Order: sequence, then C-alpha cells, then structure tokens
Amino acid sequence: MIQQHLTLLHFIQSAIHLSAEEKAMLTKALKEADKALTISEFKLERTEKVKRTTAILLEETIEELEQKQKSIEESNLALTHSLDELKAAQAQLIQAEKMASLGELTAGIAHEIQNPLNFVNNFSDVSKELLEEMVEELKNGDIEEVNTIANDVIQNLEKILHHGKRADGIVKGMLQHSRTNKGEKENTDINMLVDEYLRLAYHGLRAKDKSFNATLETAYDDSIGRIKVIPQDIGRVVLNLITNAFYACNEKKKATTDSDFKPTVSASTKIDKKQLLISVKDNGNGIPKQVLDKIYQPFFTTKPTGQGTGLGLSLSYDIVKAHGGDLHVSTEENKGTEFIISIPITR
Amino acid sequence: MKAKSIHGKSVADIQNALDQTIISGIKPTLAIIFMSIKHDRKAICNLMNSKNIDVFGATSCGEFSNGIQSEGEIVMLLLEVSKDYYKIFFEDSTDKKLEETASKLADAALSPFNSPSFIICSTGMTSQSEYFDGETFVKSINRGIGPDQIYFGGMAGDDWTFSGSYLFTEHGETDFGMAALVFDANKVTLKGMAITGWKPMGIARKVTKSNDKLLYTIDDKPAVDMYYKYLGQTEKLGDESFDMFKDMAIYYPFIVKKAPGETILRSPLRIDKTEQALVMDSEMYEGTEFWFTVPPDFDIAEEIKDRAIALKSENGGDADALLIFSCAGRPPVLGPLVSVENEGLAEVWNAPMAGFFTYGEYGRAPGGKQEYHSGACCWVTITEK
Repeated sequence: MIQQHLTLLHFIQSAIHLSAEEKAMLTKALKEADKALTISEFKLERTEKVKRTTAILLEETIEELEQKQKSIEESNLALTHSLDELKAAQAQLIQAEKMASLGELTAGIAHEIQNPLNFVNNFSDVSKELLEEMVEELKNGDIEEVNTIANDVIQNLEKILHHGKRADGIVKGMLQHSRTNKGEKENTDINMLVDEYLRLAYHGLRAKDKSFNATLETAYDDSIGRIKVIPQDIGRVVLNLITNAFYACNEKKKATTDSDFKPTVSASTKIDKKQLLISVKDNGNGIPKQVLDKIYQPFFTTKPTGQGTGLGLSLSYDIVKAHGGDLHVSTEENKGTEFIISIPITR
Repeated sequence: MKAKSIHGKSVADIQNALDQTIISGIKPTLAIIFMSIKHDRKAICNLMNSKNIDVFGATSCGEFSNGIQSEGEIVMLLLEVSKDYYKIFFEDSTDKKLEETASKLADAALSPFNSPSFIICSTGMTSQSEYFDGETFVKSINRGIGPDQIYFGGMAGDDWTFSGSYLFTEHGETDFGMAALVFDANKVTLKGMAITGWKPMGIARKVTKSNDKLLYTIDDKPAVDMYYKYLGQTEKLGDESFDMFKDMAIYYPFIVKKAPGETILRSPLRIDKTEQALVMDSEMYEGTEFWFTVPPDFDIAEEIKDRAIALKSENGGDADALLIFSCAGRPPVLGPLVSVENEGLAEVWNAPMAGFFTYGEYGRAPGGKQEYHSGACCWVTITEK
C-alpha cells in the first residue's frame, strides 16, 4: 500500500467519530482503491516496456523484410536477365537443330540434285548436237529433217525443264526446312514426303559413313492422297525419326558380333479411324526404360556430346501436338523402336 | 466431497489450520500440498500421516489459495473424499530412463479404475540444475494412457533458486520423478483447461539449425544474436549480470506451431556459450515454424474467467474444489493481474482453491491435444458426482 493510503488507513482506524461499521467499509474501499492503483501502475509500466520492445521487434522485422525485398528484387532482375539469355540460347539451339538436320540432308540433297543435273547436262549436250545438225540440214534445205530435229530438241528441252524443276523443288524444300517462320497447312502428298525424306536421310548417312548400309522397307497406303499439313514441319519430324532410326541401327551394327544382323528401317503410312498414321521403325537396340520418359524433354540426348542437340524429339513432339496429333513410341530392348505419328485428317 | 484450502508460513501454522478445519467438521482424507522448498516436507508428511491424510505434494515458486498469494509459504487443498475413489502413484526416475519411468507410471495409473481421470505432476529442476524434459514426459504418458485421456498438472518449482524441486507423497520424495493422483471418474469429475495468452508478433520464423534442445539458427541467422537484437537487448549480450531467462525469455517466449491451428509456448532457458546456441525448454526440430511474441493483454484474466464460465455453463453447477497450475513466468509478466486471474477462477467455480507457480504445466488448450506447456494458466476442478 502506498504511503498516502497508509496515512488514510491510519486516520480511519484512529478516527473516534467513525463507527466500527463505517471504519470497515472505508478500509475495504481504501484497500480496493489501493489495489486498483497498483494494477494501474503495473499496467502503465508494462505498457511502456512492451511498447518499447514491440517497436524494436517490429523495426527489426521491417528492416529485415526490406532487405529481403531488395534481395528478391535483385534476384528477380538477375533471373529475368538469365531468362532472356536462356530464351536467346534456346532460339539459337533450335535454329542450330534445324541447321543440324539440314546438315543431315546435305549429302542426300547433293545426291538427289545430281540426278536431274546429269539429265540436264546430258540432254543439253544432245540438244546442242541436234541443233548443230539442224543448222546443217537448213543449209541443205531439208525442211522435213529440220522439223524432226526441232521436235527432238523440244522434247529434250521439256526433259531439261522437268529435271530443272525437280532440282529447283529440292532446293526450295531445303530452304523451307531451314526457315524460322511458321508455315501454313497445305494439301501434301504424304507418301511422297515420307519417301523423299527417307531417301534423303539414307543417302546422307551413306555419304558420311560409306560402310553403313541398311535395308529400307516401305509400305505406303496409296489411298491416303493429299492431306493438309505444314509440309516442312511434318518433313522435319519424319526426317528426325528416320535419322534417329538409322542412328540406332548403325550403333547396333557397330556393337554387335552377330554378322547376320541387317540394319533395317521401315517407313509406312496408313489411315486408321480418321487418323493419318506414319510409322518409322528400326531394329536397333531400343530405348532403355530409365530414359524413356525423358526422350521428349528438351536438350535430353543419349548421343555423344556434339552429335545431338537433344531438341529433335522435343521439337517433333511439339510439331505433332501443334497438328492436334500425337507421337507414340513403343520400344523393346535389343529388338528395336517404333515411333508412330498420328494426325487427325483434315483435307 | 468436502474441501477446504488452508495456508501457513510454517508447519505449526498448518497444524493449527488443519486442527481448525477438523474442528469445523471436515475430516480430510487427502491433502494436495504446494509449498516452498524452505519448509520441512517430512514434517508436513508426518503431520498428515498422523491424521491419516494421504499426501500429494509439490514444491513451488510461490503459492496461492483463496485470497492469498505468497512466496516461501505452504498452501494445501484438503479434501474429504472416500479413499476408494482415488489412488496416488509415485515414481522416482533417478538413475532411470524418463520414458521408462513415465511408462511405468502410466501403466500403474490405468490399473485401479475402469474409468480413471488424472492429475499428474512432475519435478521441474534437479538438485544438479537439470531441467525436467516435459515434452518427453508428456509423449510417454500419452503413449501409456492413450491420446484421448485428459490430465492436468504442473512441474514442481524451487522458489526460483534452481537448486532442486521436489514431489513428495507418503511413498517418498524425489527431485527427478513424477506422481499421479488418479480418481475414479465414475465418482469424481475433473474439468479444466490450459491458456497462455501470449500472442504472435511479426512474421513466421523457421528453425534452420538445431540439435536436441540447442537452437543454433533462425531463418539461417544466429539464434542468440537474433533473439537479443529483436528484443532490443543486444548490449546485454555478454553481460553476466543479465539473466536472459528471468529478464527476457519469461516475457518473450516463442509461439511454436505444433499442428494446423495448434500452437504452444516454448522458451529459451539460457545461452550455451560454447555452442553459441539458445538452450530451449524443449526440443525444437529443424523446420519448426514459430513466432516471436508479445505478452498477454491486460484482459487475459477476463478471458480466462469467461472461458471458465462457458465451461461451467456447459456442465452446470459449482465445483467442489479447484487446483491451479500457473507458470512461474506469469507473475513477472502479469503482476497483480495474476491474483485477479486466480481469484477470478475461484469465484467462477465458487470453490476452495489452491495452486502454485510452476516450472511447466500439463494440460489441454481448448481444442488442443494433451501437451506440455510453458507460460500457461492451467486449472482443473474436482467435483464428486
């Protein structure tokens, strides 16, 4: 009890004019007042203490949060920068993949262009000789022979034009393959597309490795006709699958002691339940189970460093999905792998 | 059941108060005793024994009964209740594994009645100043008696001397052990709860490095430095005269997340200078989420009283007696409001009350599991059916 209250208490207890009842009542009231004062003083003191500590705690927390915010902002900036760099690197890699697949084609393309060029050269030579002959006949005034020779020259020129266009088509296809802009769907002869890339890939591999040989098996459904796809994109998928198939066969051939092993790549097309199915099958080593769920991941490759970008199947998957289709794989270790492209038919 | 709480400054005072109680017509069979370590426990036990009164006792860090709050004295709740309705079990864990002793106590406590209810106390500090592992104790007891059983109690104190706290019954006494007062729940009902009142402050924190009770880092920052810095006491680091526990941790423990919607107070006890770590009262596992705290609001006494009123209205009627196990940290933090809190509970239940300031509490927060608490006001009513 504080001194002032003690004085009051003493006064009450010693007051002769107060009855015992009044003294008890006043004493009780005084004790309650003293208790209330004690509580108030305590509350005031503790409020000050807690207020001070709470303020420090909050200030420290705010400072910490500000530092965290600054750190997060810096991290965000660095991440944004890294993301931009990553996107640029990815774009470069995707282009590199296109150019790499173009490289796969180069030898095949050279082989394919050589044939029409031979025709162009041969028919040009023959036509030159015919025209020289025609000049002679004109001097001789043998108009009938001149007409015959002119018709032969016209036929030759038609053949030159045909083979020239064939070479032009091959070059245009090559350019289309490496373009970065998105193509548009067009009615495409799927069988021809598949066959063309099968041959290009085969000759490409042969050009790089003379010892390589493989049996090509094809089974094209002639009833397919023309189907709306983006030809350069589907061509890229087919090329990638065929190149991988040849690679798988070749690897098995190199490793096997079985002299009877014949690398075989099959390509087939068919229509099933309004779906275009393009199958590319090999008799290589198959895909190990532990990597099967990773094959469509960008940058995943089982090829030695520098031989694969790891984007081929990833891009193929994206292209097929963009056509509303699916890319299915079935594989058996030591037996081989089959990829089936399925695309809903729109004509 | 008849009950009366008595208090005294000495064994003689208690003898006098006990005689007066008996003269008034109460014939106590059981005394629940809370007393300072200063007093002669043997003498008290002998006194009770001479009157055929069973003893369930603990030393304290301050005691209270109706209208009385003291330090260094003796309070007791005298109950006149059939000896068939309760049993007292006592286990000394000295030189034994705590888990094994607790398991033994749990098995024994389940044995006398088909439907038991429990008041369970433990020591708090050994004479070698080793703190009793309340968390392990509760886990072992819960395993033994089952997770649905409810019990209340506290850890014995030692007047803040850290020189050893004691449990005592007629079976013996120990500075490292436990005791259970088991009632036949078909005859005697126990109701209670544990409330702390501390509130989280600031952002959620995470234990990033710990080992047993040593807390090394909080959010990858040194725990000792952070605790002192965030509570504005950096300049006290290394100051030998500064008692971290009494001057800081009592006011600002941590609120630890135990399960979704369930929290518990955990307190740093001291600094391990060699390890540069906070020594906690319980293990804080790495990854544990927790908050710094602010002490209870001034309306905590009203909150505790209101919750008691709500419980009373659910169950109806006054209680025969009331026990309160209040954390020894509450008086410094709540000052005179602690007695308002305790008196308020006695008023609600209109019952003789005894209690003591503990080194830890056992009980359930509303809606929570059976836990070892610190900073709590843990109370239990005893009512004969």
